[in-house]
Amino acid sequence: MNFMASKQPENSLLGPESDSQRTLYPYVTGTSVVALKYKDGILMAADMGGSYGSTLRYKNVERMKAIGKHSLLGASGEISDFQEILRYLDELILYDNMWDDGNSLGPKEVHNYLTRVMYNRRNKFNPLWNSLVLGGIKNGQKYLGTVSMIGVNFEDNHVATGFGNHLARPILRQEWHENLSFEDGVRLLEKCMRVLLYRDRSAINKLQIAKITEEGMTISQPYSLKTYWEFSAFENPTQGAVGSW
Amino acid sequence: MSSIGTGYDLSVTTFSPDGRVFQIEYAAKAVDNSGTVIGIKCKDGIVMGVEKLIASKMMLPGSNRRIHSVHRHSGMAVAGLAADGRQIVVRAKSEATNYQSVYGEPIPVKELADRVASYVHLCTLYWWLRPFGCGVILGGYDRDGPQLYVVDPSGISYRYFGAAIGKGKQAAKTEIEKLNLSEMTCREGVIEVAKIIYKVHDEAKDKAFELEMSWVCDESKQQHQKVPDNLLEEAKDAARSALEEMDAD
Repeated sequence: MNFMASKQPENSLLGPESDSQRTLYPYVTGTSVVALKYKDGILMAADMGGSYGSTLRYKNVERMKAIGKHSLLGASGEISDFQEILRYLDELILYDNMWDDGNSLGPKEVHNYLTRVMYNRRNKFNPLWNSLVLGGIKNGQKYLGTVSMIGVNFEDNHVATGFGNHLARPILRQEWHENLSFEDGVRLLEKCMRVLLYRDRSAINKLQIAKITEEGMTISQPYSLKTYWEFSAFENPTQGAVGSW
Repeated sequence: MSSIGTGYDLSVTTFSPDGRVFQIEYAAKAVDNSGTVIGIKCKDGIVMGVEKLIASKMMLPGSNRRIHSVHRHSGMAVAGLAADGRQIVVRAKSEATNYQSVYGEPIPVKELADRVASYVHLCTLYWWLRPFGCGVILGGYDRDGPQLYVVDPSGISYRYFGAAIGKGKQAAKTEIEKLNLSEMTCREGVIEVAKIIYKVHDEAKDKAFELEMSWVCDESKQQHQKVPDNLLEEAKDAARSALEEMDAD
């Protein structure tokens, strides 16, 4: 009987490589991020929850960060992987700044970099377990894109991750239009976040809205949405149910 | 102190009978032949300036940077063989990023100077490597305040509050000693450095030069950056008029 148990799973074909730890499942996760283009730039919303499975363990997680002068990154999925991505990007921006040549990486470049990183990790079967939203504006050009943990990337006028794909995007498709004002953009995002709050069990009622314009990035203080639970259909929900007691 | 070290100067791993390593001294001569590089530590930061001797009129002004940022809070000005200088800068950048990723804070300037000096010294230990033909002035701002270090080709590093290397270093050092650095702000320091470089520039031997300056101070939010264009122009004007005043006497 071999007491020095090897860490290799029995069905592994990879040989010694499978001894290295590869991401199998996420542990502390953030839920949806929703973002849209508006008149002056990009608006992005995300709540501040970090779930540990079904437990809402952390309630003060900032899931949106500024990247350089021109971009804003929001992430859902594994929070530790998001922190690792921020470390990569910090080094990227640092090297870009050290050139000191009057140029700086814009959102399109950062999005491309992230796509390469995510896709290459996926090819090694060791993904960064995140869905990322990258928005920004440089020289008047607005840009909003997304990358998933398997490297699927695209850009659009409005994007969402996780549950937001199912609940927020239909709303955005109906109601988004070119040159939204700041107030209209926030109202639209809040509408999406409210639906997510009602229907996504990992959402919490503490969100932040970040905006990025030519002047820079600002992120709101955390606040909560007003919700309404007095719908008559929800009173005595079990009244007509068969077999309830 | 120049002497021919016949026989004892062929390799950096040979000592002469009087205890000198001639190859290292020759490397230092390469630094002395390059344009002057000055660094001063002011009350609120560091100012560095380089006299970039222009080899050809066809060169684009602003190219051939001699001052490089090593991290957000520190920078290096290089004198001597430019290609060797590039190697040192690349190594310093890598040391700085590595320290940050291991310890989570920007590398203290003292630590960075130590690492750069060790690296330069490394190349004086093996016969298959030649010493770096360049000297470096390293200026940075960490939580112990602004600091200035000089690393020479032998791998020694010292901390200074005013330093000069290159052609006009003797004249420049004399000028720096006249300044009251502990009371000077970096804004004033920029003007003074420009004046000194213009003064020590030898019109007879080298025709044209370009002035490159950088600072890291409270005004730049403790970030190392090129001196802003308007201040640089102001400094150049002040330096030129100071020269004219002197010539007029």
